[in-house]
Parts: sequence; structure tokens; C-alpha cells
Amino acid sequence: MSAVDKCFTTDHDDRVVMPPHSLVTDTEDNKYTLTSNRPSASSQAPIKLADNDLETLRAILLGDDYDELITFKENAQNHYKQSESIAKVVSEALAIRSTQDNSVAETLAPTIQKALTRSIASDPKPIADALYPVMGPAIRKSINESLTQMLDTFNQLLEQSFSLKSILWRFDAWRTGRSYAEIILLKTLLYQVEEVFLIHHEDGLLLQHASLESVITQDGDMVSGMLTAIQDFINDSFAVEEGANTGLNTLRLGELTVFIEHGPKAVLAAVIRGKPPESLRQLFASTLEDIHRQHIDDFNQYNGDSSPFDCSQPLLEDCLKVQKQKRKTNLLPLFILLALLASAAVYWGYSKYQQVEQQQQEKLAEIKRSEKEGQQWEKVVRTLRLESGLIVINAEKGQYENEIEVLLDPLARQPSQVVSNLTTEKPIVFITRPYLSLDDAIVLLRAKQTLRLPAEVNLVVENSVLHVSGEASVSWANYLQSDWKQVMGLQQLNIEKLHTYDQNLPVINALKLEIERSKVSFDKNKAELSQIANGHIKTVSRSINKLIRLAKQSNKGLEIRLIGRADHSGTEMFNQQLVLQRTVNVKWALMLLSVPESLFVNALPLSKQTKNERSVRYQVILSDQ
Amino acid sequence: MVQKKICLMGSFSVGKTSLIKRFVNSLFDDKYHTTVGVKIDKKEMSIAGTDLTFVIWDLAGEDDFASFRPVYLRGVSAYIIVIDGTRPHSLDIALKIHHKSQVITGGVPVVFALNKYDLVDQWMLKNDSLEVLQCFNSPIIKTSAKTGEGVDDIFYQLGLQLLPSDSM
Ligand SMILES: Nc1nc2c(ncn2[C@@H]2O[C@H](COP(=O)(O)OP(=O)(O)OP(=O)(O)O)[C@@H](O)[C@H]2O)c(=O)[nH]1
Ligand SMILES: [Mg+2]
Repeated sequence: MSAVDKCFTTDHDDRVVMPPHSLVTDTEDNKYTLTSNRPSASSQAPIKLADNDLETLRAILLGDDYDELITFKENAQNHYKQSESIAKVVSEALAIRSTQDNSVAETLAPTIQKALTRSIASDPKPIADALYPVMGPAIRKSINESLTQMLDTFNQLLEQSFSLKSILWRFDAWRTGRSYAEIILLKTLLYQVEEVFLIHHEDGLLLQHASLESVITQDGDMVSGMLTAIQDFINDSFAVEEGANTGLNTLRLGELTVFIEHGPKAVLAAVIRGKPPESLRQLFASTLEDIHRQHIDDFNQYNGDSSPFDCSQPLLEDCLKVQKQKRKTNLLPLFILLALLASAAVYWGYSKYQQVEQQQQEKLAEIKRSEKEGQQWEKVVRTLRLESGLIVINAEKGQYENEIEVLLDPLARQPSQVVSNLTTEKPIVFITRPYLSLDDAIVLLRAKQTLRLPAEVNLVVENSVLHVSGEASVSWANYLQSDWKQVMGLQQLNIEKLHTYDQNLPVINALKLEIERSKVSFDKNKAELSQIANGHIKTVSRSINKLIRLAKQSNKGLEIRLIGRADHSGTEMFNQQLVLQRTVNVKWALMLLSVPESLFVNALPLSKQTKNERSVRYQVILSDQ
Repeated sequence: MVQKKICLMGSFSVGKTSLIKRFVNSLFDDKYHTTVGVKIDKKEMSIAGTDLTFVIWDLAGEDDFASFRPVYLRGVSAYIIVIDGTRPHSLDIALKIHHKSQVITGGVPVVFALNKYDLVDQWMLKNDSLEVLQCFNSPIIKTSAKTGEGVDDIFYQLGLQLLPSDSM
């Protein structure tokens, strides 16, 4: 009911409340005004005449005009008729006035505003319905767009991700011929109403069909036919009573559920992927009811033409609900993705770091290597320079080998031996030239080699001074003293710490003992040397000569005293003569055997002849010189 | 676009599925896969300047195990009864089905297809037995799903009967 209608109704109601007689009075006034040109009519009123007579009289007086007047009067009295006459001109009047000024719009605007507010407050549906064709597509379009965008994002984000789940989903995508993103969307969906069919109850023909854009659909006509056939089959097989909302209302095919709502003229079937809540049925049922209400006539006139039902498309599209799962489950792949990304980044960074590190280390190693090479070379040369008896006169690094030219003392170590425990990158070729070194070490070697060193002697050469220590025979000491100058490079000899010993001494002592134990024996009262005595003297002379040589070696003075004896028989004088004679004879005999005469010292006079024997004995006297 | 529900009926193995396959997909298969329940196909056709969409219900043929299910005839605009010309018994069944269907549908248009007409040498239907069919005043068309002969004609004849009277 429009606002204008309401206004009129209110007006009319006010009139109705008035008492009938006032209405008459009112009419009388009108009549009076209208017929003011004939006052006789009112003046005649008091005359009591029958109604019929009056009518007749009026007809005679006024003729045809009277009928018109009556009609006019009736029109004025009847509000409906009055409205009818105004209605004939009201729109034209409004149109004409609108061309003249804005007053119509200005007058009506507040009223229309009020009317709209009231209308929406009391029942929003008509206005909503009116706006629906404009709003619906706009909303759907934006939903579609955001859905497509979301799909794209999902694709980009998850195309590269991998996990067991995603592999399974990929398999699913391959199997169903859907895009991977779609599968992901489906798997993360709680449910999704993919298609809605409005099917004619009788022939199972499709009246209207709505589907999500992302869904690949079968031919709607065939599907609706099939759905109907299935229902028919079930109704037929299980003897379900015919009627609205009876029969098959749910079909399950794997992940798909078909909700079927029955109406008297049409069936609404919704294909849902996932787990739809029962509450969805209410939406479908109310949608089906709305369609029935809107299309009563279309259903009655239906002959297979579905075009009248095109306008129910928005209602069906309203049923295409998409319900996502809670974010929690949705976030899991994202977390995995992030984790993968993070670890990939870490890995990348790490490998990059390692790469740089390796490069640096390689550089360092290179530097170190060349450094090392240089160092090695330097070390070789330095070692060689430190070596005694070896002088590096040239060291050259070559492309493939290094060359070192040296002066080498014959007693020095070979240069290759010197650096044998040093490693070098390239082999070294040595060129050696002989020379005599004055290095102390080499001089020492030379001294050792030249001087036939006894075991207990130590030599040290320091600043060209030969320090000799230890023990050596006197003879070697003598030899050293006479021969040390033959050693090249020695300037001085120091034997302060050399202890000398006489190696002849034991022999000398032994010979002395041997000589002094022996005696030349004589016959009684005889001074002549017997044959035995001569033989004996011969033996002693050899020992004496030996002793002479040794005593000389050991710088000992040597004297031999001959001591003659006689027995106690004879007189003392005689005996003295005899002893003298005997001594001289031995002396002569020894002298004949090459014992020098100077060796003999005079025999001391025998003060007391202690031994009773006829003999000459030897006394060996050694003295240090 | 006006849609029409059409049913194909007849004895088993008379070639209902084959005729539809020929009509819709222009294909023929020698192998026999019996239809279970209902199979639905769709084909658009322009008849006398009017576009029609046939939603074709291919019903399982009647045999000893599955009998005719009237429920599928709900809302049917017209139907085709297929008879196998090499099997006279299929005519008897056709008559039986036709009788039942007329009662259920209240007399919608019908076309009779005498199928497998390519097998003329095995043809068993005598002309006098066809006279029974002629009584119904409905088109009788000799067809072959194998060669395609008369197939489009079945649907054309059917479509003609379905056109609203004012457009004829
Ligand atoms: N030669 C020849 N063979 C045909 C023709 N039509 C069908 N057939 C063969 O007959 C057999 C049965 O054909 P279908 O179309 O399956 O028969 P149907 O009526 O659908 O059978 P049901 O579904 O069991 O009721 C198949 O082997 C077909 O190849 C035809 O026109 N000529
Ligand atoms: Mg079949």
C-alpha cells in the first residue's frame, strides 16, 4: 500500500465518522450554492407535497438540466466518484505543475521519505525485493572476484609447497581434473553449495540452475532429469506417499551430498561438497517457498518453457553458500610453508655463507701457500746460511726448480743433507764449489781429522783457539804440541785442561822389577863371568835397553847401579877386590851389549855385607826430569 | 527455450539406447550393454522454426526381470515406442506398453520406431501385423540405429506433434 493511498484513506475515514444528517446539511449547502439562481426552490420547501409530485414538478421546471444537476449533485456527494474524477486528471495536473516549478517534488519529498521509512519499518521485503536485482549481481560479482583472487593467491602460495597432504591433494586434482588450488580450497572447506537445481516436479525438467563459477558442472538438464529419475525410482520402489516434502530428501555420493526440497510444483536440489549442516535445509526450503509464491501463474501455465523462471536465478545463487573451515586448520599448511621457506632461507644463507667462507679460506690458503712457499724457500736459504763450512753465493727461484750455488768445505755436510728435513714446493738444485772454511765447527772437524785423537780427549774450537781437555798420554801431548799448527784455521792451542799420563810407566816399573830381581852369579873366589852369567847378562841387557828407550820417552832419568857381593869366606879386602872385579866385569859385558856407560853410577861402598852370596845385582834408579 | 521430456520404451534390446546414441552423438556400437534404470540424454532441435530441447529418458527395456515402471512417465510430453523388426514378440510388448502409457499420460503424442531396418533379410514383421499400429494414427517410422536411417525423423515427427498449435 502506497503512502498516497494511505493519505486518501485517512481523509476518507474522517468523513465516514460524520453523522449522516450533517452530511445532508452539507449537501444542502452545496445544493443551495449551486442553485442560488432559483430561490423559489427553497421557499417552496415548507409546502407539504408528496415526493413524487415534487420530482415531477422539478422535471417539468428544469427539464434535462435537472438530470445533469442531479448527477452532479450525486457526484459531489459521493467521495469515491469525486476521487474518480480527480484521478482522471491528477497525473496530468502533476505533470503540468512539474513543468512550471519544483513545488510537486518539494511537497511530496517529505511525505515519500516518511512513507518509505514507515514501509521499511513495517515490512522491508518489498523494498528489498525491488532493490534485489541491483544489489544481487553487484554482491555476487564482488564475491566471485574475491574468490578468484583468493584462488590465485592460493595457487601461488601453495603450488610449490610440498607435503604428504599436498601430494595427495595434487593426486586428487589430477584425478578430478580440477585445478590444484581448487582442491585445496575444497579440502579446507567445511562445505560448499556448488549447484542448485530448480526442477519441475512433474516432468523433471530443469527450470533454473545456479552454480559456483569455479565448479565444473554437468549438463543441468541431464542432471535434473537423473535426479528426478532417481526420486521416481525410489518413490516407486518404496511406495512413498506422493505429496510435498515427501520422498527422497538426501543423496550421498562420496564427497557430494544432494539436499532435495520438495514443493508442490517444483523441487529444489542442492549439490553440496563437504559436510553440510542440516540448517542449510531451511534456506533451501524458504527459497523454494519464495519461488512458489512468485511463480504461481508461471507454474500453472508451464509448457516446458523455463524462461519465466529466469528471475529466480538470484534466489538460487543465494543458496550457493561457501563455508570455510576454521582458520586453525587452514593455517597448518601455511605454517608448513613458512617453516619450509624459513629453512630454505636459512639453508640458502648458510650455503652462501659457506661459499663466501670457503672462498675466503681458499684465498687465505693461497696466500698461506705462496707465503709458505716463500717461507719455505727463505727457511732453506737461511738454514743453509747457518750451516758451517757452507756459503750460499747464489739462490734463485726458477719456474720449475730452484737453484742454489754454494761454496762447500770438504768437511761440511752436503747442502741437500742440511735441508733434507725441510719441504719445498719445487725441487732445489745445488751447485757446489770447494773451499776451506775457517768456521770453528769446520776447523774442529779438521783438527779431529788431522790430530789422531785419543779417546779421552775433547776438542773445542772457539774463535780459532783449540781447547783440548781430557786425558792423553804424554807422548800424544807432545805430538799435539808439535803438530797442532798443521790444522788450518787454528790460531792457538790451549791444553790447560788436558791431563797427561805416562803410558810407559807400568812397563818401566815392570822392567825395573825384572832387572832388579835378576843377578849375575859367580864361582867361589872368582870374578870371571861364567857362560851362564854371560847368557844372563845378555837377557838383562835387552831389558835395560828397553827401559832406556821407555825412560827417555817418559822423560825419566835412568841410572843403573851395579851392586857386587861376595861370600863371607875370604877377607874383607879380598872380598872388596873381588866384588869390584866382578862389578867391572858385568859393566863391561853390558857395555859390550850396547848399554851406554853413562848409565852406570858408581856402586856405593858396601858397608855391611848382609847377603852371603857371590853375585852382582842391578839397582834401577828412575828420576823425573 | 522450450524443453520437452521424452521417453523411449519398448522391449529389451530393441535398440532404444542405440537410437538415442545415434540421434545425440551420431555413433553406433555393436556391443549390447543393457540399460539399468534410466539414462538421460539431451538434444536440441529446431522444428518449423521453433527451438526445442528434448530431454530424453531412455528407460530400461521390459524383460522378464524388469517390468515397465509408469512412474517415469510423469510429466512426459511424448514418447517413442521402439519395436525390433527382427523380433515379432517386441511388437506385442510395444502394444502392451502403449496401452498402459496412454492411460497414465492421458494420451500424449507417440511415435513408433520399427528398428533394425538394416537387417531386412531377418525382417519378421508382416504388413498385416503393422495394421494394428496404424490404428493409433501415430507416425510409424522404419529406423536403423546402425545406418542412421529414419532416426532424426522419429524426433522430427515427435517435435511436430509437440509444437504449440498456434505456431503450426
Ligand atoms: N543391426 C542393428 N543392430 C542394432 C540396431 N539398433 C541396436 N542394435 C543392436 O542391438 C543391441 C541392443 O541395442 P540397445 O540399444 O542396447 O538396446 P536397448 O533397447 O537399449 O536394450 P535395453 O537397454 O536392454 O532395454 C545392440 O547390440 C545394438 O548394437 C540397428 O538398428 N541395427
Ligand atoms: Mg538401453
